[in-house]
Amino acid sequence: MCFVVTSPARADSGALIRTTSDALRDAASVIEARVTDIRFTFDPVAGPRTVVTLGDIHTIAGEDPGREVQLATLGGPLPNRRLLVVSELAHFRRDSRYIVFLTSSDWFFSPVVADYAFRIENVAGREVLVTQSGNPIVGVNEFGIQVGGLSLEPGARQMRTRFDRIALVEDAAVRAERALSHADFVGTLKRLSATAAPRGSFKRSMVPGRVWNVMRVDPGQEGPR
Amino acid sequence: MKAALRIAAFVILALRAVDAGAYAFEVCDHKPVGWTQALQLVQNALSIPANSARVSDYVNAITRWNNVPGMRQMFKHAGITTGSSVAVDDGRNDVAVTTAAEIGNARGLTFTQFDQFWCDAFSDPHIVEADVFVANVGTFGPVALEGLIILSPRAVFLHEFGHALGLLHSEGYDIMRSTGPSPMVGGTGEHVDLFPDDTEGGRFLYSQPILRTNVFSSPHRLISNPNTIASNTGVGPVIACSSGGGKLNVMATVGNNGNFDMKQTERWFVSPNPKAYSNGTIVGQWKNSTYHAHSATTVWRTITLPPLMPGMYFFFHGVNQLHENYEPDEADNVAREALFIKVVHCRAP
Repeated sequence: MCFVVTSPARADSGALIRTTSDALRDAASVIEARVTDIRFTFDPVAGPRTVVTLGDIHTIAGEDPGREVQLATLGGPLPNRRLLVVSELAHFRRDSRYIVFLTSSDWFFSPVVADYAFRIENVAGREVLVTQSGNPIVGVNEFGIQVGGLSLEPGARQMRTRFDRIALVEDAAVRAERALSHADFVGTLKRLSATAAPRGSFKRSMVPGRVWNVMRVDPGQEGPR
Repeated sequence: MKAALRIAAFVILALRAVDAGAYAFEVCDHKPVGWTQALQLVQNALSIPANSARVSDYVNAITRWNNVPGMRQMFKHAGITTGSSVAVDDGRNDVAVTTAAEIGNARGLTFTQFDQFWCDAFSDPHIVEADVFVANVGTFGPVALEGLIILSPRAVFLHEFGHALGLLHSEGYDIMRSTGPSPMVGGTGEHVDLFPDDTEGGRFLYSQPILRTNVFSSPHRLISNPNTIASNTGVGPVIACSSGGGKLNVMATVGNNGNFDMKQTERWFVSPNPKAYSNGTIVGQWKNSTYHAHSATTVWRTITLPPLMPGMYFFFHGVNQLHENYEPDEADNVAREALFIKVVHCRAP
């Protein structure tokens, strides 16, 4: 079996996250929770934020973050009525349950470790986990998260319902046939966290000193091609 | 006839098409959300200097997306900035290289702005700004080999430009995968390229009704479940007798990025030269195989090796080998597979 999870681009974490063990070590805690509210804020420094409130929290590993957690991810409506979307950041939907890795690192874009926010879907009476792309999780070990071939979500994502529960494709049960059960996924995470334990405290606030719409560049150092 | 005899017999064991249509995008009701006109890109020349490997990656991303058959040319280079920072809310479509830390230890990040945040029956939202950042992680510039590489910056440029166009992640045989590695195309030209799901997504959002042809061979295939990209073959080496007759079970992957079906001739050949993309010893041929528009297909073959001189051989697979179809780009027609073949003298039984 081949486990691969390194992604083209993921944020936000203290270091490059290549494996499940990396993600666990970067996390303060791994929780299961329900999205109870999503609202939007704007601040000239912090920028547009989508503030996701998580309740009904069960701690799977690491620090207990309490009864409620708010995740203020960069992106959302701007004062000029535009919408900012930042690729690669974890996205949440109302009334959905997730397993989320909460970072112990300083963060600016999102307090979620990389894109380690997995939605729990009930498919034909089975609780399974799906990735941000909607692909069912079929395996997990210290090296990575293994996903199934086809997303349970339609290719056309409705902008109107971007933050609402998503309607899965008709043959979701077939596509999720090999998915790990919720219990197996959680059990494996608990086992893995025994050797790659979450540590530190969840940073509830973003790191100060950054302005949302200014990005420093990296001067090119290498010679001509 | 002699030439025909040199071509070893082979058997088709299976044919499997990779799932097509695995691209994702946003819609407002039934209207896809994208750009109304081409993106005017502004290159940050401090982080993407002229004549650098970085600018090669930037140009490759523009070129690859602009060359999608049947898709409007959506990227235009419109100037440069030279500052040490870039604003992401200034109406310009900036492209820059940053440190990984600057973008939350991601490999890349794209800020996309839509002209309205709501969607209802009367609205028609579009993308109006996209700023692309690629982390200074890994080696910039062309990828020299067709091996499996986890996320070269060149691939990240291509991936983030897909987001800038309005495409979302999809875990198919494509560059928009969020789980690596990305597949690559074979040949003597560019290996970091787009794949049928990417090109179909681009065409869907920005179609231009022109017939174009492009088939390519890739040393990589999609494993659907579990979902990952893998080499078509193992590395081997497989041992074969110089007298010939050895059977070789291999996979080959072909993609059709064009917008009509292409019937053509495939060949397999071997050579001690790793760059023998056009002049190896032919070991197999399949005439009139058809690859459908917007699809990628992995086939199983059993190839019977002909007599060969002892030595180590590289293994190649090529499409459109008799040039039955005109293609603007034929540099991607032959892939060198990962497999090595070791040919040795064998004792007579």
